[in-house]
Amino acid sequence: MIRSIFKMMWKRRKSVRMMLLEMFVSFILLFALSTIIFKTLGNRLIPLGYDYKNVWTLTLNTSISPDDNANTVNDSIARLETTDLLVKEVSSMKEVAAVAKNVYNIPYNDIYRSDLKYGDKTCYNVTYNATDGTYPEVMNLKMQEGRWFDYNDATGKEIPIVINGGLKEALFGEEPALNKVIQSGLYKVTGVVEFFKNSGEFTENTPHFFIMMKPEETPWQLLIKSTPGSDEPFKTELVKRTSAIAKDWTITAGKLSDFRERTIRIDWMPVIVISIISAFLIINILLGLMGLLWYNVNHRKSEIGLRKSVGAPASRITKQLIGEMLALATLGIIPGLVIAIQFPLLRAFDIKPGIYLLAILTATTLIYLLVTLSTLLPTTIAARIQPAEALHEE
Amino acid sequence: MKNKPTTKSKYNMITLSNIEKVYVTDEIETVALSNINIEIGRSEFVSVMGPSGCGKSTLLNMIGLLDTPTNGTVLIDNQQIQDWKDKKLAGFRNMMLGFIFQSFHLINDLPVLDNVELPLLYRTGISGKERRRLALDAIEKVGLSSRAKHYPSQLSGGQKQRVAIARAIVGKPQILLADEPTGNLDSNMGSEIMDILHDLNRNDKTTLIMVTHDESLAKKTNRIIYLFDGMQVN
Repeated sequence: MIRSIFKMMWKRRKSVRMMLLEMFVSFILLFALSTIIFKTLGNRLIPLGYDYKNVWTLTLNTSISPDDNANTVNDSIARLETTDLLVKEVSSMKEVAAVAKNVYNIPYNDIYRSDLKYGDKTCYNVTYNATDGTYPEVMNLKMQEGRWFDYNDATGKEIPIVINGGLKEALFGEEPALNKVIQSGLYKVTGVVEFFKNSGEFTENTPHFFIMMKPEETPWQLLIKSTPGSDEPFKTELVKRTSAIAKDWTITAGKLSDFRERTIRIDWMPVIVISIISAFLIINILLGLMGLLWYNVNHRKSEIGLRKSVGAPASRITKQLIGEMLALATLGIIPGLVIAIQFPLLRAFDIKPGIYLLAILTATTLIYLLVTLSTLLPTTIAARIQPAEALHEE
Repeated sequence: MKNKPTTKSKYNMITLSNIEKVYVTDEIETVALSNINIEIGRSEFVSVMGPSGCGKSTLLNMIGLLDTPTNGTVLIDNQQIQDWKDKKLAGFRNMMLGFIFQSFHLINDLPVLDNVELPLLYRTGISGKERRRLALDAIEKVGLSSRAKHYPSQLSGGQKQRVAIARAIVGKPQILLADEPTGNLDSNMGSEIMDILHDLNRNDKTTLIMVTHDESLAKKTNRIIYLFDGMQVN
């Protein structure tokens, strides 16, 4: 029976080649969509490593880069004094639990990246931020090894850093990370936080490191941990009071939870776009299959009548027609499977083979499910055809 | 007035009693068969004749269990099939009946061998190997062994009808129903087909009912049933 169905579909392959192409493209799209979804959801299971709730960012725009060589010493001193005043003012607010200074990236913002070297190993595009000793309190970080740096660590020529588990694994593997000196003697590891996903929940625990801010460095942001329930009035008051101190600076406040929402929207954008394209294709496939089956039922009435006359019960006619569509689906997705299986074999895009295999299984199941669904109505009608009536159709 | 059954035998293979078939379309009733009473014995070769539209094919459909009568009863091999469910009816048709059609009704996308195997696909307990063997035997019986792998489009009309006969006999049915089996063939091919049918009747003791317009062919059968306007004519 199965051999006979495949033989028929193979013979009819020219008349159904458009459907075969649609099946192939749909399979590839569903495979891509499933891979992205499983990868993203899998990442969601990895702990974020920090608490974004009730954390505010106060962006301090002094219009001058802290690395700008044109800065005068007087300007630098003035900026540091202003910053100290700002920290004191913010800390004095009753809603504020802790304040940390920060330069470069903040959570949900991963613009600044650097390549890190240790021996012959290089870890590319590592996100980083420079901060002070209160950062773990603000972000509620848990140390896995060692301790967070403080200004007492700044005695050596190396700059103290804390790394996350992702960077530890990438640079040191199973070796201990503490006190390791990396980047040709530039940095020294004082501690490790197991998880810190700077780019948000739906990314992996990608390498990240925290550099101890130099005392003379002007922060770009203040990260503020507030008491629960602090909202718009607090934000307004925060900007008002800090702007009154740093009159020449542009100060804006934002909530990490808002940055998080924006990042999640961006992270899910490809999923949404591929989902929409897939949905269109799937609808197209459903309509195409239904059309093909209507055509089959109407143009193959005599064949259906013949099959019934030689002893096929209605249920076998239904199975025959569904079987043909499943055979068509199989012929369509075989080239897709050949392509899809290359991804886990090549470990493409650094995605685990298990995710690819799950995506292949999902895409295949979905295609077969959709094909079966689309055949239900036409096959039911076909099964009701009277053999005597059908045999007179030519 | 009711017709009497045309033969009487205690070993009847087919018994039709008071058969009536009425088609209703758009509130128009068309009587296709009326008051049909026929008995056909085992191993009989019976022809059914009559002008076009007289109900010959409808009668064949009733005997072949492809259609149900509006009134009356059909007994095949002494079994009343009226109330049988689709699956049981299909199984009975598969075991007992073989069909040969004027227009062959071959599946063009399948080669000869697969076309002939078709009835065996719906029979349980036959392995693929056995199906193949039986189909090749049937193909050999109609003299088409060399064409087993050909597709219907590669065959002549006579060869197609031989394939149809092979398909009809592959399951070794006790009854063969042939609806104008030579209608689309020239006289030479027609007589070849008739020879095969007579052989099946003589050698395999198959009961044969053949609808035909050709009186010369009908005369070679055991008995002729005439129909006119849906009724039996004695």
